[in-house]
Amino acid sequence: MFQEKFYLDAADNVLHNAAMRMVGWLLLGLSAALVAYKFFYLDYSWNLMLPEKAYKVTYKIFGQGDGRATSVSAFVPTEDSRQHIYNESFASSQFRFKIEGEDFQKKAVWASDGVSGAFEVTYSFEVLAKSVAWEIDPDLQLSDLKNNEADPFLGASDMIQTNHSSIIKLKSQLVGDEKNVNKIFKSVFDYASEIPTLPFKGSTSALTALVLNKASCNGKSRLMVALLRLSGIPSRVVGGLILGGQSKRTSHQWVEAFVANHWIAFDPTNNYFASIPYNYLKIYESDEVMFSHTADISFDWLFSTSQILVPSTKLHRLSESSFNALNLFEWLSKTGVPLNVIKILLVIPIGALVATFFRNVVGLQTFGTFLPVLIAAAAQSTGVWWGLLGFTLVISILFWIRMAFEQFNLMHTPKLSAMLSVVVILLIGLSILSVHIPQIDLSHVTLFPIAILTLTTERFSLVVEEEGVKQAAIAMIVTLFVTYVCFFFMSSLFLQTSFLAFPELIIFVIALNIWLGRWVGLRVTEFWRFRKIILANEHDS
Amino acid sequence: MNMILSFLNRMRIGSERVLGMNRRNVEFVKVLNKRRDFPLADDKVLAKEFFLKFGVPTAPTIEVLSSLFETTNFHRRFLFSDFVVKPACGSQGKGILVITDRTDLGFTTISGGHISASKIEYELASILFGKYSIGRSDKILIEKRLEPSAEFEAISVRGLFDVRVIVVQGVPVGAMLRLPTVQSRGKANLHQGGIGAGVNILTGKTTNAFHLGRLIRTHPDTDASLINFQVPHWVKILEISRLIGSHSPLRYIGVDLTIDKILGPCVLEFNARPGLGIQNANKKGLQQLIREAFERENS
Repeated sequence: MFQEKFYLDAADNVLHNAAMRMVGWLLLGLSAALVAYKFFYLDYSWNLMLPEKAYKVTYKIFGQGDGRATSVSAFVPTEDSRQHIYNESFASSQFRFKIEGEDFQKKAVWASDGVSGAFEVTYSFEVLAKSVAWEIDPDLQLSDLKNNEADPFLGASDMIQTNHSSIIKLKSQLVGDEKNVNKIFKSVFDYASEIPTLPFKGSTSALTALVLNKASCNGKSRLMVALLRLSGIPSRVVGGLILGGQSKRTSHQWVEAFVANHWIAFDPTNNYFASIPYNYLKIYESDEVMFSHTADISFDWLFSTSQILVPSTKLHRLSESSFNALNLFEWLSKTGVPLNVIKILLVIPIGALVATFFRNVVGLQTFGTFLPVLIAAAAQSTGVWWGLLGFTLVISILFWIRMAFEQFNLMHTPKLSAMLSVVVILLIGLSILSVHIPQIDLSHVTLFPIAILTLTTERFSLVVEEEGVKQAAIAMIVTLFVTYVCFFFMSSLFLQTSFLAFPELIIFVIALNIWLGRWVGLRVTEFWRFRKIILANEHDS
Repeated sequence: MNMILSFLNRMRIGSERVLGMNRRNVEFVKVLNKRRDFPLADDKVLAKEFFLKFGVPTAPTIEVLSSLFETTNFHRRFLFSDFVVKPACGSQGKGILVITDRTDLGFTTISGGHISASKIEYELASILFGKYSIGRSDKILIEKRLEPSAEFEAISVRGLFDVRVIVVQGVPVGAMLRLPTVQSRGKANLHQGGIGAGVNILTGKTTNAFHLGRLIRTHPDTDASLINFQVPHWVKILEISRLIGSHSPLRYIGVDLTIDKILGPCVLEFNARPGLGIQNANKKGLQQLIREAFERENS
């Protein structure tokens, strides 16, 4: 009688299992169908998944104040159709910070009524730029440009001496009475690019470059501009950075000429004729120095640029193509939520799946089932090692503080509430610390989940009390390990772009969770825990 | 290659005997225990009322406290000098305070330490505010302290042992004896250093003993043998387990009993999600134990 009843329950279970498996397959089918629809009826392709190269750029300006009013400033880049600038941030230590000007005249200004001792300010941003090549109509004549005589881009300046006889003479030698725009560009560019290049050293005027027949990028650019202006083509010197490579002090200058309503780039120093590569960042459009500062202070700067990979921008363009109810961009662009937030939001289900896998299939117990996911999400902006370090720091400091609170014999909830306040102080403290000590990069630690850190410390402390330091340390290491693996998957550009282009993949994650939820096999750690039973001989048992 | 295949096959067959966490949750707890019945096992006060309804012996209740004003001067209301304070909704023995004696200054705990009445009052308040019940408000159960019967003197060190019987649909399928050690500081929980000794469900004799992941034969503190120890009153223990199992709406439970030196077998509590450590203590998988028990039941 008992056996019958028991097996009846088991039979129910078999049915239930089959039903759940079915639901899993249906969800899988649904998400596959949506992906297929986008592939075959809308213009989605695997091409979308390829990440693009972007750069993270940091200006570091440092010096020694002498107690007097001090200000330093630097040109900062502007967004245009060729270059996308985002995630700008700054640290200003004792200074007031502001941005002045716009459209390639944008300056970051740090000012203070009195600074003494060493100071350092930073400005950083990320940039994704395209390479562009222009084609100039081979039959284009000077008369087609319809220039205005008073155009300031045709006139002389202190450094671009179009009125000097040597430059006028050179122009007539090179260009003569040529009216074809393309040919003028060719001869002027060839001349300027053949001048031997000197390493960057201060400002060289067009005339100096001509007289010495040697110049750095700015001298060559100024000479080219002078010759173009004399020939009747509006042009200017622009400045910026060549991205990539080591930290450096040098900015770069090149030429832009105004042809058929477009500013076309030429770089006689690195030989780009009517083209500009993707690692050129244009910052300002005037013939000035990139950094300026109050006189008589010791002052220096450094650029560091490092390459990063980012989700393809082609995804953005999808929203402009066909109507598509499943296009996340179209919807989210209306909400104004930043892309970075969406990116992290979309990969949280992946992190949760990884955490679930470790719990139910591998059998590793972490502090708080989804704590690793949240730490990994926060670590997307700190980097994984700083994230893990920040987490460990916060938990261990909080652990000691909780020990102190225990002496006060506080009630549970007020004690947790007090600890939560301490977490807030700790996170802000770490954040401030990392601004003052540039080697420590914990400024984004404030994104950590505050309430969960508090509860985790409470759990950690209880494990220490009840099961000893060793067990607590093991659980902590397991938590850090699972966090690392979650981070690995969540920071995968392939997954990020896939989920951005195909948010319906989340349904697939749900299907996997349903299957995992009905999976009744032994966990990996249980094979070890029960090894003596599993490997016992049949007749022994 | 053949060796690997035969090893994998052995693993497959072996793992079919064992009940893992996933299968326990999905096929046993979820199917046999309804969520709405969980409070019966999770709340020791409710469980005790349930046991008393059909005459299951338990430790005598001194008081149940459920509000803060009852905690002040609690010790003046009764004259017992040995008692146990339990959070009604605590799990894994957390928050249990065992008092063995009264002194002029306060009380003596089972581990020989001193504790003042005001410290106990603070503990009581913490329990009420949910220190051991994940923040939900809790009740306090104060019971007369049970003491192990004489047979256990050499193997139940500095605390109270218990007998865990797994009961599936009213049928006791497996049992183990949980013994405190010096290391476990009087607690019988396996992961805190207690010993789990497998008990043959038919005879009540211990078969194997498991301590911190290792099989042992003698008690680490007293060297008393842990194998072939006859648990006294075994028939009575099985009877109580069956009685609870057949009345309980929870159909897959772990019943915890102890044997008091005066009262004999008494139920401590029962559990709706019994742990899996009993398998190592018995060196037998629960799936296998359940199969064997139901075969016996049918024949």
